[in-house]
Amino acid sequence: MTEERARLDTAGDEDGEHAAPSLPLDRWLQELRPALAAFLRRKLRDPADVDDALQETSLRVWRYAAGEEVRTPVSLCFRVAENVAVDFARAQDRLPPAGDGEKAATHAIEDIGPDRRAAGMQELELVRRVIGGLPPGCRHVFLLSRSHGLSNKEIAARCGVSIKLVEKQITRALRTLRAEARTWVEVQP
Amino acid sequence: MTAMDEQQMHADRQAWAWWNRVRRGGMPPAELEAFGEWMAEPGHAEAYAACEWSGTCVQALDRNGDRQWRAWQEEALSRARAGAPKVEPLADWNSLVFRPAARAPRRRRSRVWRHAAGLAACLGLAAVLAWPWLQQPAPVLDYDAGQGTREVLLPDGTHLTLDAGSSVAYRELRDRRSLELRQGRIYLEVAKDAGLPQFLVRSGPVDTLVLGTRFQVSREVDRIEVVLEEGAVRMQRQDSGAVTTLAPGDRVWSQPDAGGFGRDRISPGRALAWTRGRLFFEDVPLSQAVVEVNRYTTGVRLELADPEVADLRVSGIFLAGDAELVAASWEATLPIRTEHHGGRITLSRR
Repeated sequence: MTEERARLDTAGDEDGEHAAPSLPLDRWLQELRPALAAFLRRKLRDPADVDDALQETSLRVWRYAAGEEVRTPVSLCFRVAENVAVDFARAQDRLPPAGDGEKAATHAIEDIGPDRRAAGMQELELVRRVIGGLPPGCRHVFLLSRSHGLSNKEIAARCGVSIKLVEKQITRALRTLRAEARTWVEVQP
Repeated sequence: MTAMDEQQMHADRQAWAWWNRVRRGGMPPAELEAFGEWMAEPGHAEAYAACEWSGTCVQALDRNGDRQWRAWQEEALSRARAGAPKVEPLADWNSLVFRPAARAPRRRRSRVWRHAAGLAACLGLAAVLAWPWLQQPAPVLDYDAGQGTREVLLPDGTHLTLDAGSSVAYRELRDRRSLELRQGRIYLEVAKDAGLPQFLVRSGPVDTLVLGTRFQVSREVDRIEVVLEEGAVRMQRQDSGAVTTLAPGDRVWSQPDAGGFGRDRISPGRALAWTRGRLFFEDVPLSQAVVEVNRYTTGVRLELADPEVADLRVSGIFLAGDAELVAASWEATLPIRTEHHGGRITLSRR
């Protein structure tokens, strides 16, 4: 069978293979091209810069993670595009380009450091611990949504609560995860 | 709730919808452009990042699946089950099946005996001739489970759980309580009482004498199998006379071509998952899992629409009787796509 099957079969090997994205990064860049173009059109002052910015985005994504597996490829592509747009604006204002450290603070969440493979398992352990620490109701709703794949409407009907409450619980779980992820990224070497 | 929270909830909801769409790939350009524009709005890229990051981590944890993680998944499922109206009365299953065997109310039992006496008077000798092994005619109680499991409280206070498609007949005699398993699988929590006669399960040529409480008997064509969870039972073959006694965790079976019994050890929790309204799969092909799921569903049924997915392996614990929920969880974890067509859900390659 195909790639997907092979991926499922190798998941959980001891070599630290985990949560491989379904597509390699270059495929993602290709797939997302129209989305990134639309994104950059909104972010850039001059629409004529879109093609250049797209090319710069591809280059930086490559430089960042060529050949490596990234847990959040889509977010990575957009984050890099955002940084490219900022740098274009700075160039027009004759300011020096922003340093990497300055940018990392804005969306630290998906940036899990250079030694990603080794850090991966610790990252999963963190997520596991955070989810375990949620109040039970919040954890149930989050897992029904993210792990069992139920829609908010289904969850609401099955648990006998309002859709609003389901959304609130999910947002609460995500907020906790986000906060924990930030601390965790900061303490990484 | 502040306006800020409302905004965040809205963004998280949309991020989740986009993530589900984007990770499947194959989006038309117009949709991709809409996604790019959505990402350019304040706060959306962050919401998407949190969604993608936590979603991928959860998937990885699902695959690595340690015990604690599984337990949390289970807990969430039970929660979903509690409020679901279309699932059979499985919600109080645990308390029913696992509370200690209660002694039957006296009045109830005596009514049965009165009934038995009346019937004996009517049938007289004829009944004795029809069942030579009976010492006294007694009413026969027939129980059939159609689709889905069925639970029964027998007159003596024994809890009987029938698996889908099973059929039994129960009689109370002076010196024994006899349950005949015609086909299928049953789980028993036998009422223990000094005043009650011994409990015997007959299945084809195999008699299982109950010395303790919780066990299951299954009969599939000629293979008769007993799994003991707690207490003790003794099995006897009428054809060869072979006898064996089971300890908790033993699985013993008989087949007509061999005179004795086969035996191994099994986790009762796994073997008895069906009594908790659960399906337990460990690396089984999707085609087989679909058959199992359909055995318990009364409404929507699953269908493989694509032979390519038949060999995908399935593991995990699923809620019996709810094909929609199972399909949703497979769609989230396997490379398959589900489509709803009224009374059936088709599964095909994504």
